[in-house]
Amino acid sequence: MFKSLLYKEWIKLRIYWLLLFIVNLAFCGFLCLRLRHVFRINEAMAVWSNWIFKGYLFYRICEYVPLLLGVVLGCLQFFPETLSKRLRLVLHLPLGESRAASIHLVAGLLMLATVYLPGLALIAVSSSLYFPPDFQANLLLTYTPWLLGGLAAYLLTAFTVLEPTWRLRVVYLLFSAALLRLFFLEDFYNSYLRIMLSLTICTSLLFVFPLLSTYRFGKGYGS
Amino acid sequence: MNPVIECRNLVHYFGAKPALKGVSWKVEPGRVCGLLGRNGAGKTTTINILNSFLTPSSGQCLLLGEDAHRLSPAVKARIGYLIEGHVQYGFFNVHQLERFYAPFYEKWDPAIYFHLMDKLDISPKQHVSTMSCGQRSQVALGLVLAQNPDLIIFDDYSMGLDPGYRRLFVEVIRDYAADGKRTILLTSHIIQDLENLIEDCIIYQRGKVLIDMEAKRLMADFRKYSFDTKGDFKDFSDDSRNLRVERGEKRSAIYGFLKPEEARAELGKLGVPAGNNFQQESISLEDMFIALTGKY
Repeated sequence: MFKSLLYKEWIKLRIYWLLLFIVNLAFCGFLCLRLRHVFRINEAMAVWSNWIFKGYLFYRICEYVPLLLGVVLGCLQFFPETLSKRLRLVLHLPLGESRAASIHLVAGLLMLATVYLPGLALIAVSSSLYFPPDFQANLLLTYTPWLLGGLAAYLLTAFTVLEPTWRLRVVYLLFSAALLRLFFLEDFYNSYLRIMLSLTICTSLLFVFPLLSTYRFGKGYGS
Repeated sequence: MNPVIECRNLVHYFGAKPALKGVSWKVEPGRVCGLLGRNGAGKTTTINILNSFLTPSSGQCLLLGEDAHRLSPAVKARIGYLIEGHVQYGFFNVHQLERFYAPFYEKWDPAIYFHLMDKLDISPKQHVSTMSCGQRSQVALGLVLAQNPDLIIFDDYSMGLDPGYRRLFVEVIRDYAADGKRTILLTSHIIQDLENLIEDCIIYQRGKVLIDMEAKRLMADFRKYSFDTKGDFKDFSDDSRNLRVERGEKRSAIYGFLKPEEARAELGKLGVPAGNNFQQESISLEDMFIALTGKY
């Protein structure tokens, strides 16, 4: 049953997944080219002084990419299920409703992870050509809250889209916007280091929210 | 034997508006039951409650002995449900659909599904999104039948179908139910299709059960008597006695569970002159439905 639901989501989303993969890779690839360009036309010392010692986040252009990808995937995956109440097909299957909804979320999160990770790997490999290992670790740790923000955006998008009443959708939208802002308050490298674990736990807890919307959808709230 | 479907005093409101006002009925095992009613009578509300897509304001529904809102996966596997509009996944093709659904049902029989697809000359590679309404309805039907369920609920199976596909649907359902081992509940607005299909008939009127009886008994006992129109009188209806009098320009009619002398007596009580040519007329299930529920 688990495989069947993953299969369904893959068939539904595979073309979109490919597009998101390409978009993310393109952004990360652009960043790598920009990095190479900067080091080619400037002295390394000057770049290091600006980026490392003054804390300039050179890959800030990618900051909101994971969030946008998460929102887009959440919409593409769940919005069609609310049309003609197609979600009822899954809710009628012989397995628990929460279990069915959870498997859908796992499918989406796996797809997001396979979109994010190659891009992250590309940045890591590219930055290893110009920065020492301890600075690379800083780069990745600074990028992590944005990735967590992307995963959170996906879960909150599912939470909002699956809610059957428009009034609560607006409330959820405002709540989500406020919550997601917390992932993007970095001013310098590793500013989130101390709260990374808490941020990860909070992101994990957001998994429950779409299950609540699915429950409400299944019980006909707003009908 | 316990009923397969049981509704106990269902009440439901949409805001302040009552949709169901204390509805109770049962479907026994092996029966084909038609749930009929005009638009807004409460049929879809009842179907949604049965499938736990709506929580009633009060009352309870039981499916195969379990509360409809707390069905175990094992019982869910025994219930087939055709959603209104034959909703299915458009991104799947015929083969992929079967591959998706099969693992969920122990009693899954792919032969039933693919036989129906062959009958309609639908290729296994054809996507649902490219199919006509009729083809999609047969795909949805094939998927439900392949589950080999003990209970099937068809929610307005006839929606959007031309007469050919409707006839095919009815024939398939009739053949499937012939062994008496399956229980079927269906709703439809095309009453004439159901005449030779349903064994039990439940008719809703404004959120209440108006009729709940065997279809054969309904066809035998509910009668129409026509007579020449004489004098001035208005149409009359009494839902509590399932009685209706309709005035026509030249011929009028009285409908009800009445023998001829009872019909004459009712007309006398209403002050309606029976007139000449008082005779019983044959009446279809659709005519009965309109007589019972009214035209407006």
